[in-house]
Amino acid sequence: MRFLALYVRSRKIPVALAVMVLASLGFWALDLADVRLLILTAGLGVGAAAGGLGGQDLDLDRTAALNWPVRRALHIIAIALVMSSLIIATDMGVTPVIVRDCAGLTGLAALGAVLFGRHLAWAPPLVMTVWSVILPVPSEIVSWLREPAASLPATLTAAVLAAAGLLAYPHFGPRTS
Amino acid sequence: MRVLRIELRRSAALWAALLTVVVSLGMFYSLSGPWWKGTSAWTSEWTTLALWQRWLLLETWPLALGIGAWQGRRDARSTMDELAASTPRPAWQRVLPLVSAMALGQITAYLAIFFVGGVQVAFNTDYFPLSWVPVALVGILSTVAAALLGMGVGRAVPSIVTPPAVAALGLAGLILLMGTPDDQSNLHGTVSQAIALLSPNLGTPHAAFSAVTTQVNLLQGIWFLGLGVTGFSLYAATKRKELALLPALAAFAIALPLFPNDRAGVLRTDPEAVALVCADDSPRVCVTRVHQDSLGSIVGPAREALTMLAKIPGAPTAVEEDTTAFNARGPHPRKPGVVLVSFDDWQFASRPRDRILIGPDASCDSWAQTLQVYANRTAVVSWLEGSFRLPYRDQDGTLQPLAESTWNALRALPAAEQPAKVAELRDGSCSG
Repeated sequence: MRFLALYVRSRKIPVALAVMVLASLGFWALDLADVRLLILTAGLGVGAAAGGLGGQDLDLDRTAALNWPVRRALHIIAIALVMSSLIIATDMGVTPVIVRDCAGLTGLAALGAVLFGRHLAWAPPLVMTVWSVILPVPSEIVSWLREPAASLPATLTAAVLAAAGLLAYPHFGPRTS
Repeated sequence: MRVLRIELRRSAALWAALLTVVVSLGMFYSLSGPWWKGTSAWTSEWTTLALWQRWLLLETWPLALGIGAWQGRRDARSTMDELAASTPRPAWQRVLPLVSAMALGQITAYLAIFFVGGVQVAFNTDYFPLSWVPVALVGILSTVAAALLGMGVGRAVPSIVTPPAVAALGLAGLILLMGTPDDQSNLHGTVSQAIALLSPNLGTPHAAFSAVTTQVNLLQGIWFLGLGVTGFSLYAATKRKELALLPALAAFAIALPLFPNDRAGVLRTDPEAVALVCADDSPRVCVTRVHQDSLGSIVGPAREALTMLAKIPGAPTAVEEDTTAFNARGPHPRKPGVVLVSFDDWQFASRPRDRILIGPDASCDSWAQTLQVYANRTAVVSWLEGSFRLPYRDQDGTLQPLAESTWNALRALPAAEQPAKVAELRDGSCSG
């Protein structure tokens, strides 16, 4: 329990949760079942959670005899799960689309943490979000966030991103600067 | 000056500028969108360039907000507010170099994009109005305001979540405020036109004939000035930060009630742009001042078509450019005795003579009616030229037989009745 409390605090999980809940509430309150707003809600929540992919002192963390890969993996799985359940709870989108988008965006955030560190981990998912919202490129792979649930290329893209994040982040951990 | 140079190097200002230019030009050049189409393309006229660049703010405005917040947050983390407050020097003097560097980055990025478009516009048009200048100035002011506001918010709430949150919320806000040609916003009429004007994005330009009204330029200028001052005060103030919100609130209270509530109050027709320029000699062939360059290329085909049309009773005697925005679907304006043409009409742009011979569009509801109109017009063109020819592309082979039967019926009439029938077919609408 003590570890969990300290981990939650050092990974800014209360702030991330608050942003996720507020974004979902805002989406629900607007009551516009527009897929762009859904993507923005997911991007905002995952981007906020990405700030917690790393602690205050990573070198100190790594000296601890803890099984970090498992904990990191659980952390990002939790982000995707919480974000998608919150959006599903608004009842304003198709569940497979929500799960696909949240999983893919979380994978991007995890990759961002590996590549740029936690201070800029939000950039990849947010850039992807903004890109898809503004520019519906006629390619099911590029605009995977916007495609309907039946689109296989979009599902595959999201799966690849999620898998890459799930493999890379637990293994390498956030970048230390 | 030395501090400014240092701040330019160590702040996010230049990165922000580079990112803005790359995102904007990357989007325009990597994709084929409405910004490349017709006479309202972003490289065709000064006004459309200025308006398309304002449209780009849809993505670069939240970007500036986010990068500003990143910068403001970074500065807050230095935790030397107390030390700075202990000196008698006013706080705003200390932050001025960094703020100037960020503003300079935004201005440079805006001008760089404008320059890339402007060089092409200079080659594409001779018409140089000055009405685009305030549009561009308000655009620059809005990006500077976005960067300052981001810095202020980042300083006031120095959380790691702040930069992505303000960027995403800014984008969500701009999308909700996105204006459309009618007086409602993009999302099922959520907000009115007046509220939509709080966004720096003025919507997609629909014709080169329009100019933004002075009222809108002025009020948007006040609004973004207020936002910028609020951002600066939030960033510079060390105590009583809530007072910093006053300028934005005041600007909001001034601008919102005075914003026009319909699209006509935002974009007016520029009377100078639509003034007709006519070719020498008769018959009369005129284009708008904006498209003066194209006059030479259409005079020949237009006069040839008018000469051919002279055989029918009540034939038009002039060709003029339509000064309303061309809409491929809606009803097209008509003017007695004059053929109205538009350079946004691809048929006219590719074969002007045929387009004039064919006659006014008859915007029909059903495809069967449209096909009959096409057949009638084919008969008209064939009669004027003396032999059967399809002026349309026959996509599925259904037009050819219908047109041939109409043509044969026309030829079966006594020679004296034919001209009147041709005139009737050419003017005909959707009766079937």
